[in-house]
Amino acid sequence: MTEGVTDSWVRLIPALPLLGAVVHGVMIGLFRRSLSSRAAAFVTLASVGAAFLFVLLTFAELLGRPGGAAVIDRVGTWIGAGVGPRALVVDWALRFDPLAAVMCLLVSGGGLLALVYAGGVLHQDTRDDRGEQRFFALAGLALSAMLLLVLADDAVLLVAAWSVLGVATWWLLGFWYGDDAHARPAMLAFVVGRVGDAALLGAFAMIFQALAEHGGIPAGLQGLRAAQPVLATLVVAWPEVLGGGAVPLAEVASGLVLLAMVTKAAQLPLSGWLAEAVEAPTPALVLVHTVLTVAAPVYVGARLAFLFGAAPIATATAAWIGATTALVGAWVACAQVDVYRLLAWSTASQLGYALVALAAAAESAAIFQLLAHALHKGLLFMAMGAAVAAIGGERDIRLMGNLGNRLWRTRIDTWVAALSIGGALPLTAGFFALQQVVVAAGAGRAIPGQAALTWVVLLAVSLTAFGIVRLIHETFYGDTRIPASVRWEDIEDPGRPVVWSMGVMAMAAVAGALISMPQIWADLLFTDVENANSLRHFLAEAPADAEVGETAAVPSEGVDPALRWLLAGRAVSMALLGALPATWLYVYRRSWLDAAAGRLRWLHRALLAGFGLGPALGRLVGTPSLWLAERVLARRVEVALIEGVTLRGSASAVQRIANAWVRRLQSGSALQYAATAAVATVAAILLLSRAGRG
Amino acid sequence: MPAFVDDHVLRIVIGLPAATALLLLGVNALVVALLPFRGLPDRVWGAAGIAASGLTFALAVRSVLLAFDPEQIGHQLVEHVPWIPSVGVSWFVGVDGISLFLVLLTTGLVPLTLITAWHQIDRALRSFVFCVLVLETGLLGVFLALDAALFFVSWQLTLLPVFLLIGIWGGSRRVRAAMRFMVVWGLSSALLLLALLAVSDGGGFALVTPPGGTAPGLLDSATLAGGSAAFGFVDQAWLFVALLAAFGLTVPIVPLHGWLLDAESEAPMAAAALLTAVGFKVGAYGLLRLVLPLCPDVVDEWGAPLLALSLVTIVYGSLLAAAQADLRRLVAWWTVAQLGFVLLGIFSLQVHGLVGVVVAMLSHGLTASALLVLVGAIADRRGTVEISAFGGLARPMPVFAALFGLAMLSAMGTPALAGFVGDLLIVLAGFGIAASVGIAALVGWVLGAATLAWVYRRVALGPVANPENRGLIDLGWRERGILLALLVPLLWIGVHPNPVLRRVEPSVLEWMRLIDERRVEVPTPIEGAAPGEPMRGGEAGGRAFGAREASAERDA
Repeated sequence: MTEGVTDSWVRLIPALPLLGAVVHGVMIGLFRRSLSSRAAAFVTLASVGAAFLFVLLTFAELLGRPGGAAVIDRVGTWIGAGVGPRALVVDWALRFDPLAAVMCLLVSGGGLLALVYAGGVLHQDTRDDRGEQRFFALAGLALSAMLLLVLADDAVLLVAAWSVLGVATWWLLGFWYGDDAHARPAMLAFVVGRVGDAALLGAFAMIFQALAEHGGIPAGLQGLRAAQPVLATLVVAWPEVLGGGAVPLAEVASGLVLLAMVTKAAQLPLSGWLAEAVEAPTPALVLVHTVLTVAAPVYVGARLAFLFGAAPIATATAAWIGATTALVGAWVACAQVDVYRLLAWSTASQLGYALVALAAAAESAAIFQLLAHALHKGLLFMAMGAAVAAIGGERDIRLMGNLGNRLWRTRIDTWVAALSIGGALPLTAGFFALQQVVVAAGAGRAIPGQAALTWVVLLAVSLTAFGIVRLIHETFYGDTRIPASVRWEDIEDPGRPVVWSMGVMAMAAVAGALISMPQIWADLLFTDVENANSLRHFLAEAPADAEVGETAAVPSEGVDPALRWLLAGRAVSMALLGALPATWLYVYRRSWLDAAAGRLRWLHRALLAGFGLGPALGRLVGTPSLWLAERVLARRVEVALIEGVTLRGSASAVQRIANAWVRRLQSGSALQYAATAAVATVAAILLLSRAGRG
Repeated sequence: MPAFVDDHVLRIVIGLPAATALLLLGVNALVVALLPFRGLPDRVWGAAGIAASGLTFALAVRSVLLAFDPEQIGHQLVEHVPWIPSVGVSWFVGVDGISLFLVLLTTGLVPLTLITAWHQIDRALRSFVFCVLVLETGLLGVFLALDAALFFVSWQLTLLPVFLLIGIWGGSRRVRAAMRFMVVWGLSSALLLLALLAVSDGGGFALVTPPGGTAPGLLDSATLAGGSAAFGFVDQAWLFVALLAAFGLTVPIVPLHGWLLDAESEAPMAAAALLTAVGFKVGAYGLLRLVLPLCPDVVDEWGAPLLALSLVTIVYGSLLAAAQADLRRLVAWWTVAQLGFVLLGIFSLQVHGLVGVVVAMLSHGLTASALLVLVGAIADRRGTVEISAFGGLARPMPVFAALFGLAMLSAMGTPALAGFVGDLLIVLAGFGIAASVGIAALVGWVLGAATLAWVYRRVALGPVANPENRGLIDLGWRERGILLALLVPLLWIGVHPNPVLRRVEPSVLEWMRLIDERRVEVPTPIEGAAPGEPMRGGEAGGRAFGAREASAERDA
């Protein structure tokens, strides 16, 4: 692989945002000198903007290379230990290949928009524990970790970036640390994420160990990918206590990777933390819900697709977890009254689609779904942030209504997002992403219960459409229910940076449709378009694919057009089936909905609480462990062990004799201590020499 | 620097602190005798102590670290002078990659300890300085000794200062803690002495063959040529039991950890960092230095229970940390968990694991010191270390919260900080033995992180519920400086650990060669392991690699 001058640009992509973060961090963490909010925003925007520029430049370089040869930057060795086949060498190795390129564009571009938005809204915050500079420091750190994550060409480096991203998520979500209601869920997010860190590390450690016994640990992720044929044949022994036997290594490792993905992408049954952790500044939520935390697992799933290829059980589990989360998340979102919680459940649901696509071996569909989701979810968070700010910080949907009359720009942006997430009209990126997900689910890699799985996904589509109509209607239409403290005339569209960042996102959500349009839709909408799904062709271009050859043949492309149209038609009709009745009900028959909620109060309550999944996380794991630690180990085992058995007998006897002696020693005279020490040392030497002679 | 220093650098580094202490004592006596004072003022003692330990550190960096040749195999800067020839005791010291960083850690921490003590110790500072300097010499002696008798004497030399430090300047239950410490360490010393006498069998105490020495070292394979029967499995087993008890008592292996918690939470704040970071780890060093090469077959044969013990220590320590009500006991329990990782690395008998052990000891030392300095800072201000007395400290003390957060992240093993490197290598070694061992270690890793995050939230985040915390003054520049001196190396090692690893690994390989040569039973070669059973096969494989690599290294 030739290395040009441009290759060493790649390191600048994660380094620049980090530099900005370090400047802020040192200033506020050590010197307590804060920049003005404008200057703080400028430093981070400049550093992330420069990173974005380098992404564009490297992207251009990548496009110009023959055969899509990746741009590779090997900075040096990070950790090197061991020799022979078990030698582990972790390089600071970055690899800008098509997948990384798409992710870098998404992360740095989306991050930049979110930061512009942050610059526009953060200074309105009036809390004591605000601090724009702290926000920009954390955002820079998080973006840097995410960019490192997508560029890392080494498994351990990937885990490290993943773990640092978890820490940055903790701090971003717990930004307002002065309130337990904010600090608590953010910490839960970190702890759940730490389980994922361990799972990912465990997966790679098992792979390393197995490969060390079969020729050596290969260098980098590409090396692991090339070792896929070997990996697929290896097995690990199952512990004897659990019945013994052997299971395929790919299954165990994929299962662990899946666990890591579930934790970060807030999939069932670990969804709760995302909806709990909405007590954060809106820009932090925009970042976490679009390009950072929840995007990482989808990327990792696409990157490690070669592993899942040899693991049918893990793949099926992933598909079913994704589909169930899509359905449950969309359903729970329909009942939420806190707009941010609603959007959080919707995020979990949307990532469920991506997981289904990954399981169906349609990585490009998953990445496109991620991209579309980043755009429409970012838009929704920004728009809802504007609505929330307009009514004085209340996030309750029941206190909104008819805001569209005052927030007309925000309403337009929300409509774009709604069209994208709803998936009924072929206008936006979200629509085409959903199309690909449904086709992948219905006609992708075979999964047990595929027909049922497809219908679960389709049902989720319907509920999503219902939910988005509800959200738009309750906020922007109908009767206004704003609190008495807010004057109708004071409600205004947000300031320029916010409107601009929303406008750019909305345009991207529309224009994004063009980069990954399924061929059937391109044939329908345009004439004579070849390779309409340019994203998929671009992602499939990676040269390494040719050898491994499982992403090269994306199954959904080979699917019979009739089946594709059938699935596409079903998706559109299910979306309409959710959206149209919702519109009719909300506009004309509002009372029916209220009556239904009253009749099924238990269900409504369960949905409102998200089936208690958030608190359950703490209760099911945290409480028993603490009980074990405090009541059993500390009060019983520890007492019995230490006080009773080991020490009490001997210590108390010696203590009684020596108590007086020690007291006499404490005269404070150095001379006396020194004399004692000297005597003891001499005594020891004498003892030793005498004993040695004997 | 004169050539004399370069030629005798180790004895100067080891001796300088104690020599300063004795000199101060002499001057003190003169002053008392000749002048109408009650002795040298405390400030003079403090300043002299700081200067001497600072000089020691500078010397350790300049003449030990920079003079250390990573490419050279075996011990370096070796000094060998007969001391008590009649019994074969000699002044035999040398440094290799394993001891190098422990020496740097020790010499670096002592000046920081004395600077902290300057402000925190309100009575008999001179005696405190004396104790700390003697302790430093003892610790350095343990790490650098290549003579079993010297090792034992140094070991003894650490005993009394620690006893006094806890007993005089300790907390309210200091007497009990000091007595427990004395009982445990006295017992351990007796066992160690017996074991060493048994090993030496009257034939001298050099651990490795000294340069130009006539008698081979105790750990060299040449000793086995004539007397391998003396080190058959049964002898090894007896020796192992004695040595494990001797060192295991001083490393807090569950269930022998009770004294450590007392000692650590009762020791004076200023000395606790030094004790936790270095003092309570000499046992682990002893396991690595003496137990592994003396009883390799026993470690192989009894591998499962030993590993189980390490894993229990990790998980038990992490869980108990969550049950603690005060910050010092939290740090103590976290230390227990961390030493579980160290034991896992040692008993894994793999290159990764042993390299990871050195990094983990280094990172634990720096992190524990930073945590204890931070805890000391709030104890100074509030007079308590109860977790429930705090909450929301980020508001009145933002710099404290930031640095406490960084230290906690390091304690959790977060990447880009040194803890991750050590934990990673040890966990990989765990997976090298069996997947279940690695997974259990990872469970402990997660539990520890969850506990620390939870404690951090209760101390630094949330509302300022207690009005007493409202007006707290943030860390001063002295405290910030000390913390930076501890945290910057952690970051440095976390981001660029190779300078450390490059120096440690050859020594670990050499040590593993020594261990392998002393095996009575030949390890199973890797080819013999069936591919379907990576559990036991992996373990044997890991060790066989060690042997093969080491022999390749020797041939080169």
